[in-house]
Amino acid sequence: MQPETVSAFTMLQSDVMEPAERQVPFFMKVYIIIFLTCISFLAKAQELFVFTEPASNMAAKSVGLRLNNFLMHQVNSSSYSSYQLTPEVMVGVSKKIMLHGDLFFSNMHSNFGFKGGSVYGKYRFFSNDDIQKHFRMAAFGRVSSVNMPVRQEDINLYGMNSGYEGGLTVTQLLHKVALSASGSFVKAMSNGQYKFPGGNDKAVNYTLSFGKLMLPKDYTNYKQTNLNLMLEMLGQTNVVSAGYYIDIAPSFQLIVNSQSRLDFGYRHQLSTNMFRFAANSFLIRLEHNLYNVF
Amino acid sequence: MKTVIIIAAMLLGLYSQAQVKSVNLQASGLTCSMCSNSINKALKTVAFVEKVVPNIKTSTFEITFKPGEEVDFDLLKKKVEDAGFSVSKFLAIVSFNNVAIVNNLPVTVGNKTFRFINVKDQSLTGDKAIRIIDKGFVTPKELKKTNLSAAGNGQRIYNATI
Repeated sequence: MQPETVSAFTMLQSDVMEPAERQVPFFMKVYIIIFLTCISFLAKAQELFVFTEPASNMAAKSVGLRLNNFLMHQVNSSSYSSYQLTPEVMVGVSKKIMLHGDLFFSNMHSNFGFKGGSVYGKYRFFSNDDIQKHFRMAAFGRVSSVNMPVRQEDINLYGMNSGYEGGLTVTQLLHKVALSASGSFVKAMSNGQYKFPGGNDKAVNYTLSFGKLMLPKDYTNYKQTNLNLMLEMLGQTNVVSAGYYIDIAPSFQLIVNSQSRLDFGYRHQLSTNMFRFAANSFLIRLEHNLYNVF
Repeated sequence: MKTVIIIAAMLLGLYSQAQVKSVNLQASGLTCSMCSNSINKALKTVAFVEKVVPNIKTSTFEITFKPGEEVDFDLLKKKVEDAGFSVSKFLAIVSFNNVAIVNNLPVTVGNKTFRFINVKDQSLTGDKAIRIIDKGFVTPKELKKTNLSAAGNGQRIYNATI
């Protein structure tokens, strides 16, 4: 195992272990070990992650258009009956700054319709590039406004809660192995007229991501379709209630013409002690990038 | 006679402007084809660039230029950086016509001034590949080795080697 993965393991484990009275279930330790072992064995890295953002930005003056479809397994339901449609626009403002704007349409808690939106920004403040290798750090923030009842304990600024988030992302690409990790602070607010119940409105999010290029074996031109496999872990710990969840999110990605992306992901809850309205979900995303737009 | 002199002067002018034949640059910090394509597309927006031939595997770009146009190395570097990456190697094919170079002393070739580092004093003729070794044209590691001070007083002088 690489030294980086050992430290990541230690870091992840200590995150999960907090607070002290909550023990990590045995099967979760096994999952984490399998996850990190996969990382140490997989070869070529890709960091166009499906469920998280790397520290790298999109090119300056480029615009990306996304259509995100989430099919969520609603609690107490036998099917994936909750659907969220999120059109998203991404803009590379400069080489260091990028912005995303998202709109949330869903059938959660009422008929399908407009439920809110969010703005996300990322600032890459450190970059050390070498041949097929880099270490980058970025700060990011999100502000969300959603107008629907709050019926879950976990805080989700991507369509379910109003609030704000700020954090850091670190991405290391080293001899064909890439790893990205992020940590952020999340504060939930009232969803318009719907008050945030309880008071457990502060949480810490942490993520760990890995990606591998499967095809093509040899790059010769931009027309070749790429197939990438990703494996990500997404966790949240509420700093007030100490409630937590840990999800694992495998995904695969097709890149067409080196310009468009098709992502298929599945997010699976590994462990939680919180009430979550929709934990397991499928994600189907279409993305198209336009270069040198302005 | 006057017309002949003017035409001759124009031809000479064109000749001196067409000193840089091509550039081969390597970008660092990337492995994916989407990243490479963003550099490729950015380089193609440059007015004096005629053609960009990318090699995705090695992250290198062979750039040729429109005849008679002045080539701005700094702008090419900026385009790579704006795409989110860095230049790790920058080779320019420059045609020399019996130009005497002395180690560490500036020399003007066409409309560019170079200062050659770590070279033997010699006379250059024909197409030669020169490597720009300024900050932003090499990896940070290499830059530390050369430890170059900023060159030129107002005038852009490229530190280079052969």
